Amino acid sequence: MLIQMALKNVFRNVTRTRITVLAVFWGVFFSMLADGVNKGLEWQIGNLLIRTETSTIKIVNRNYPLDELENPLDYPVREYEPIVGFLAARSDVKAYSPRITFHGSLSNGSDEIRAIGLGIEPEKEDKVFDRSGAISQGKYLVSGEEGVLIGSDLAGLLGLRVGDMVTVISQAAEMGTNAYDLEIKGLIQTGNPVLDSGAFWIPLQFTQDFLSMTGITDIAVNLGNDSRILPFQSEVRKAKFPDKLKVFSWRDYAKDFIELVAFRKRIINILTTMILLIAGFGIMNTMLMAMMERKREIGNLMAMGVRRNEIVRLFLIEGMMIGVLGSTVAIILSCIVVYYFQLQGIPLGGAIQNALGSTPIAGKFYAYLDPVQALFYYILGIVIAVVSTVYPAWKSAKLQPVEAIRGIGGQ
Amino acid sequence: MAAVLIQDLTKEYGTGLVAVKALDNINLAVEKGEFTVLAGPSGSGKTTLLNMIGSLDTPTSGQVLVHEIDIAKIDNRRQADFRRERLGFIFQSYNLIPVLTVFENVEFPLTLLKRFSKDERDEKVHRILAEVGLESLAHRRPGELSGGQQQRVAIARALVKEPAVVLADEPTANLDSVNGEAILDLMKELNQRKKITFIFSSHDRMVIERARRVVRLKDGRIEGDEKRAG
Repeated sequence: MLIQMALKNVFRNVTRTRITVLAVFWGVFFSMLADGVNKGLEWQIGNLLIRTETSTIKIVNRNYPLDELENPLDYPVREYEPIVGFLAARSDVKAYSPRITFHGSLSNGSDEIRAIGLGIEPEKEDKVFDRSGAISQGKYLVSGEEGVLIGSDLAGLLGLRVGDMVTVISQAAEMGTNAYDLEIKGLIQTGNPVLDSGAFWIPLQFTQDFLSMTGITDIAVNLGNDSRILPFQSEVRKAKFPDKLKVFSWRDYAKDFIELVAFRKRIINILTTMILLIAGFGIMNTMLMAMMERKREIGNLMAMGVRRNEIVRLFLIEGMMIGVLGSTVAIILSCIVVYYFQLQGIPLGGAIQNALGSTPIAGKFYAYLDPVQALFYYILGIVIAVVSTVYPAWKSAKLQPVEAIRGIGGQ
Repeated sequence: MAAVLIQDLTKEYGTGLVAVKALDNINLAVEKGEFTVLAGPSGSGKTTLLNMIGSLDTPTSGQVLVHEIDIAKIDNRRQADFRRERLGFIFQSYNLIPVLTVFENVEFPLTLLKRFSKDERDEKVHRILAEVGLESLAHRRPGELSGGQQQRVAIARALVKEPAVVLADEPTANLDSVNGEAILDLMKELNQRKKITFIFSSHDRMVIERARRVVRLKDGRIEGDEKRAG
């Protein structure tokens, strides 16, 4: 009967219930939306980095820098065949790509633009990063054939097209500046602005000759999922290789972005807490009003033998029903909105795109719907509604029956 | 054994110089099945005395024994249990729960007792509603009823669990004379048939004339105690 009465009480003053439900609704809705946007940012950056730039991990020389300004060629892995053998024998390695990453530039004869050069084994690189799938014009590199792939935006900046010749320039590893003319075989559009506007790909064999070096600088390895990163790092550390090695995960490369996301998350958490607190106070206030209005009724219930703890329970059930109502509507709507933006994306205008700078997000920004987080906010909305009702419930239960019946007391 | 036994009961509100004695050394015994009116002008202490008997308020000194239970000496929870088991209340302004239907209002005290099945509750509620002549209005809300009908619901609610004592505070005060008389007849009939002890307060002459016992109060003291035959 208490549940039935609570349910009827919830709907006895529709306007007040609407206000209270709205307080829960906005708290949960905003929290879910903010979380969806932030998770989307995190997921998108991580996914793009893994898919286009770093894969799950990179095996490098122990002293290899994360700092982009340093020259990777100063930290080569001279004997990489034992590592390739180690990787080929492992079942948890989905694909791997030995590479040379170097600072270089491209020239069209009149203009020269600095860019990151990547010496690759085309087939292996394709298995890790699906480069052939990112070809927007022309064709992918073929093993043993000379040629260059250029980021599509970089090609645009230099006014180059497929079939044009371009001069690849680099500080060689052990010699001075070197330059070579190569035919553009294809243009690559990865969606990662760092690569699309600032990278080119040439065959590994050619790169080694071009840079006068025998080894490589890094091996990109696809482990499938993040859970394998730590065990893999430890196993590489234990294995004996001629070069001393280190394993970077994609998170090491995304450190700045992850910190940015974590910072945004802290801001969102503060905002969310404030909104939910305001919602909580709103609920408390309306429940206190309800208690003042229903004082006679509470006294009457007490006269009939309803215990104080049952009065508390009655109010808490009402709070929970309001929480369930507000939270359910908020979660359903916010999930629809977040999922829509997860599928369709939010187009980024030029100003926003410029503001993002080197953040690896281009064109559209996608939200991410996290079902576990949705469940968390759903429960949180209900908990806040119930907790906000505790004080009015306690105050109602503390009323003296004789005063409550006369509609006084509890001030 | 008296249904209600009151000994040296005093109730003071406030302290020191501003202390007001609402009840002053009351001694009273009400036998089982009695139909007793507490009569007196406003401020004479009728409602305070009813509240003391109903364990809704606590005495400053003295004892209130209802069916030999000293209700001031038991804790809040046991007082609530005592009220739900043994007492029925009827208020001047009916005090029905507005969100519940007539049926649910009357059923509510039975659900609190937790010893009746749904079928048993239904049967009891239908029977008492028939007795007060409201069976056809069982699914209406209190707001859809007249004052007289609401007071009948309140009587049905108080009696459905067949309590030891029914306490009624000015039950006819908000009703016109026709409805007031009908309510009084109903209470009297139920008192005679079910042998339930009725104690109610009133300053209505018509009510006082029909009571078998009239306890007159003035300024918190018993001024007279008149028992009538039949």
